Amino acid sequence: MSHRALFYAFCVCVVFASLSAAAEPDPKGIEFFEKNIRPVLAKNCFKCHSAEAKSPKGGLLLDTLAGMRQGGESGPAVVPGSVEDSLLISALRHNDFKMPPSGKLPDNVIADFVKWIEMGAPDPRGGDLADVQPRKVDIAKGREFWSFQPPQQVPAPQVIDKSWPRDDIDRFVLAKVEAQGLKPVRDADRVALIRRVYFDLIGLPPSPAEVDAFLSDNSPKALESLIDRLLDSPQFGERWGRHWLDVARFAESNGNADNTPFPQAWRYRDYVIASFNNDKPYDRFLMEQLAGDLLPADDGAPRNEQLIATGFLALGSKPRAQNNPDFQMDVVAEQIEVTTTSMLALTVMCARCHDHKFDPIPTSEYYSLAGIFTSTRTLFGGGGGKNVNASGLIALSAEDSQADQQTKRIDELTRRKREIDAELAQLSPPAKSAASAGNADQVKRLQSQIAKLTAATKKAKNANRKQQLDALKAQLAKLQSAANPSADHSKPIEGDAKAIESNVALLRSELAKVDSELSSLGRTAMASQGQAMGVAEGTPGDCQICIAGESQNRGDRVPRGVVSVATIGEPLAFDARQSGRLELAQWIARRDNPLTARVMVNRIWQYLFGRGLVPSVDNFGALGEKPSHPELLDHLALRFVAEGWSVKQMIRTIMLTRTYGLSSDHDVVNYGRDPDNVWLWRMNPRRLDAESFRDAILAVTGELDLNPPGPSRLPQYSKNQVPIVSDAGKQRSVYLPIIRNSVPEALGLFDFADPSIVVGHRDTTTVPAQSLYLMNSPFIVDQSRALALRLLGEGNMDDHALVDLAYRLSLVRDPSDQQRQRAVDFIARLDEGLKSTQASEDQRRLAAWSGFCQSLLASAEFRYLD
Amino acid sequence: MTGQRFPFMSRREMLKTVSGGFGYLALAGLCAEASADYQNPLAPKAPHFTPQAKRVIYICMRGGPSHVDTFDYKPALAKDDGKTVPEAGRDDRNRGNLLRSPWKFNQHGQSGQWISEVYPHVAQHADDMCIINSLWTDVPNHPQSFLMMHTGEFRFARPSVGSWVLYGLGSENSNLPGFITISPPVNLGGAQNYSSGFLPAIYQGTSIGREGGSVASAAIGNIQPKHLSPELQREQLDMIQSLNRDLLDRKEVNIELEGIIQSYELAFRMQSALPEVLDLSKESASTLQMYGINGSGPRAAAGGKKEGGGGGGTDNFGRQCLMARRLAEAGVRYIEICHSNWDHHNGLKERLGGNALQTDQPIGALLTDLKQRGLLKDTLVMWGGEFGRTPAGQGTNGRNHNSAGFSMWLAGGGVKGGLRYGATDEYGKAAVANKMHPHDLHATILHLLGLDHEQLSYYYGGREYKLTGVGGARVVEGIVA
Repeated sequence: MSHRALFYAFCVCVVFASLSAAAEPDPKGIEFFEKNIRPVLAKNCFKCHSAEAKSPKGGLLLDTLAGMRQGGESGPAVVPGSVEDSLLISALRHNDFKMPPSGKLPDNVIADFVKWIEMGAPDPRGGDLADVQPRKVDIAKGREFWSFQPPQQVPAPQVIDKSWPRDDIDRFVLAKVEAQGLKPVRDADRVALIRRVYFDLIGLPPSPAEVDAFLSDNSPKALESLIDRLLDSPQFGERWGRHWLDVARFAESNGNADNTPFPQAWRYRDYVIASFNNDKPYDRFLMEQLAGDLLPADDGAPRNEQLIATGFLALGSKPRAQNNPDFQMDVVAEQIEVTTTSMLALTVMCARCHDHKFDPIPTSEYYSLAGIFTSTRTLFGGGGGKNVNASGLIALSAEDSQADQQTKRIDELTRRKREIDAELAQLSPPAKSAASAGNADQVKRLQSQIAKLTAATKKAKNANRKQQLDALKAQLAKLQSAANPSADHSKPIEGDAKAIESNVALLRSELAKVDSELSSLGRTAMASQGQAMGVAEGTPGDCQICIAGESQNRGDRVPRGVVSVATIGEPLAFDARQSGRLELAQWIARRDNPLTARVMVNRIWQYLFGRGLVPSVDNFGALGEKPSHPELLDHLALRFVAEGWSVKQMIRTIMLTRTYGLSSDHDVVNYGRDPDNVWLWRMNPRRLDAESFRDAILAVTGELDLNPPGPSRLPQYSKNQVPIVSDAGKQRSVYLPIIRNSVPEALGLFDFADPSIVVGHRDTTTVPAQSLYLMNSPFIVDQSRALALRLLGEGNMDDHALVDLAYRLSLVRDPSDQQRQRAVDFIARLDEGLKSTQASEDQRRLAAWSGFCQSLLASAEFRYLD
Repeated sequence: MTGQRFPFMSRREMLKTVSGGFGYLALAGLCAEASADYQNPLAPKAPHFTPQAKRVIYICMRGGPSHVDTFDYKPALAKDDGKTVPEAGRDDRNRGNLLRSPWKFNQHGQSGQWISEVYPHVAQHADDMCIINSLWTDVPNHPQSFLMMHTGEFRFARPSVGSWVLYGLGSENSNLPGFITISPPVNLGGAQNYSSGFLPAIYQGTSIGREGGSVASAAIGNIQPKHLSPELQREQLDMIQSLNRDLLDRKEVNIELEGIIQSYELAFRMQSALPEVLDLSKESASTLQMYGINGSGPRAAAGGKKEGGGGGGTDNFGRQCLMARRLAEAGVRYIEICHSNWDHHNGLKERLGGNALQTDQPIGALLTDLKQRGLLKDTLVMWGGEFGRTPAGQGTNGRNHNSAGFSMWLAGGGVKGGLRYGATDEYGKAAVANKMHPHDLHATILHLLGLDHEQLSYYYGGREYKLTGVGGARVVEGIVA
């Protein structure tokens, strides 16, 4: 029996012992006990088996007569007169259990115990049994716990300052603030607000032009239209999709012992991004991930999408199957873990080996869930060496009608792209290195797309493909001529520089969208006949309980089912001919599931405020934290469901509240009473997450390429040669390849979610390795140089004005006079100091400005959100 | 700056993460350092009780070294050489014919410990060594067992032993990382073996070099500025810090921000401190010679494979051992060095012999050096791999994986020297007396460091996690001095 099993043997077989009336003890017997038995017990057993022990092992107490006679979870330790039935003796002899674990007691001591039991186990001790009653899972009582109760519609409370709230959400918040004797701080200024809104919605900073436009928009709807515009931008899904990828423990390799690549995982990533961009109703989103293959869908793209969604269940990190009889159950455990933690904030996995110790979830219900997944085939690919577990993949299909539509759309977009390019050429100064580098990237990408399409066209003789190919070729020709400009660029058109700048910004942003759609269409066309990770129906059947979690030690077979404590109303009926995933999905997505909506609105709240109303976002059980604002949580959950499970609508609603718009100002009185800001008297100052930080750097240096990269950028590798993934590249961080245990440095150093486990809340750590990265890494040094080039390319501006521009680009504000002067002095000193190493004046100037730009990018302010 | 600063937040945060009764001690430790508001999470923390060891050096022998050829003396194996293995049990690997060790075992020291002749230098420390012959682990495969040894779990990603230790005790040197691993393997779980898992990232191991590479030329990421001279970088850092202080003035109170400011200064110092501590050039010629560095040690016998880099001699591992001593001396809490490959399915005589030759003199020197500097008494040194090997031969000159029984040895740091603990059966097939699982080993390591493995826990995903899991690990009191 393994080490683990030994322990669980204590926990599983719950046997109730009846207490026989104790006979009158005889004094000789008592003397024997006091001399030979009690000291041994005290010395060797009480540490783990007494009221003193923190948690008595196996529920067994040996410090009272009653505890001894009743025994632990495995049965009575001592049965007077019967050595054979006394588990204590068997344990001392190291037969079934081995006690004490540190080594057998001497034979003569064991002989004393045998003798004592044969004497009738005389024992003068008293003691109460109350503490050792085995615990039984009481589901009816469990339902009384707050998170298993249906959300209650409560009218918004009365507040003293009636002019303050904008929405009922504000009333719920202000009522608590007032009750705590706190006072909300002032509203955030508009610069802080636009920066906050940009980072929260799309994970990017606003450009100076966008800030100016917002500041000069005096309409009362300015904030609303800003929020709407950002919600509609494709960058929204890239940011909010990434939040979901954290809890879905998304990665592109297996991790664990055999870190084989998952080359199809990117499809799931793109599915998640697209789902958030399309504001797919959240209930639908969950159902697709659990049972997309079982939901009706049109052939072609819609079906593909639903199949890809089930990648959620296949992406987990799996242990090696070789010599592991528990392998299948390990995979199932991971599936149960990710499903219940991400969607329900319940830690069901504890019930794999024993009834959940804290939440009312019996082991039998764990195996009811397990039966659903053992009836499912998990298709994750993998393989790549002997001894490495491998499985198949899901085959996707493409339909001609879809290809037709794609071709049409590609033509349309290509035309528009040409127009924008022409307009931009008119407006922009001569091509800068960054722009041509961007073009070069695009040329490369197009060339590779064309190569692939040509191959596909030859094979399929598909007319639609050919049209598509022609369109792409035309685009390539256009780009190639742009990349090698031979014609003289005329001087920029005279006129209001600001107007031009904003026009250029608008055109660029449209171009980015066009490019993005073009590239994703091209990719879909190429990849739609490919494969995806996911699940499919297996052989339906109920699962036997694995006693103590051991697959080879099976108990009762339990019917498939769900967690009953979180089920309101009738229990679910399962179709025995199916796996049960559909029923599971329907149960989670039911309007009356007490957890699903609450868990998601709480996650949304956390992503916007830095702290959930329930701070333990992944645990709504007994060990989790209680909601600070239970009525508000219910209000949000009910509103979320009533508004069609629209994530965008929920975000929009919260962002328009007065509460969200508060400044992050310090306040001595409030801080003294509520230092953690539980009651929301201000906005929490927050740090940018790893992706926003890296993307913001690329954005302000002008290097960011908003085009999605196409199919995976995962490098080819053998499982034993796991590569280090570079953080270079100009696409958004969400597209960096995520290899488990080898996450790109720019992410890993800045508290990226460990992709092997469910992470609903990221840490915010401060590590010297972060500072070293900001001081010395090639990425930061290169990007600082790019920002310097961008500044120095501006032409006729003096150093003071350039410093201002650098501040506005990076910190979204102007420097103070003192800061401006300090910057100019610093640049001059660097310039001077570089004289010995940098020959030409231009190089020196560039190096000095790079040094200054690096200071801005490395400053805490750049990473802070007010 | 106006307004009073409130240091409560960081302590509150600290209490949240350091749980299980340990928080109070940590808080007391923090309050003692009242000078700065910001508390470095790596600052030394009080253990649960008086420790015997302050730091750990784990000499990891990757691949599963054969116990019956090194530290588990089995005269019956020599006697019954060639006979069929009796009662092979479930594992096929133990079937076949017994294969005697090609090496002689001799007794050493006052204690008379039996040690194979492949480890003559190490054997001189027999009286300081506690040889454990009764280890066993769950699965006879490298990846699972390597992860088990390093993280106490192989099914799921969990924090490594070094991360737990650093989380529990902090670091004694604020200019260096508190957990350093030299030449770790990239497979067998790779970075998972020194990752912090769900613990805060600050507790993860810093790796230097990669398995099989030359440690003399191993680079540490981002440690040196390439674009600015140290003087100009200091200027730049002053610029960054002035921006940070401006922000702090504006925010009035922000503990995190103070952390960032301190962390920049630490990083700046680390730029010189870490390369300096790893720079062996200032060591005396006699020290270098003792460790077998610069060609001063023996070369591997002809035919021996060049394993572990360094051209088959003692140079590469000698450097690792000397670096380990320097890191220990500098106050680094948890140090791991790695030698590979000990997976001797064939070529046992040549390859195990070659490996021993590459590691014997360096390890012997490390123990001598630690002792003469007074460091051995509070430095726990551990030697061993992820499992052992079968007494049955695989072919005529190899052995297969064996997870049912294997050996490790510990020295210093509060373990009983000159002790042989536990035993395998007469041939070394399986541990039979005082069996010890990696969880027990981990519990004991924490115990020696003054940490109660039941109390050292971290709240993640809804419950408290411990290094030693829920399987009832035990501290092996029998080896504690």
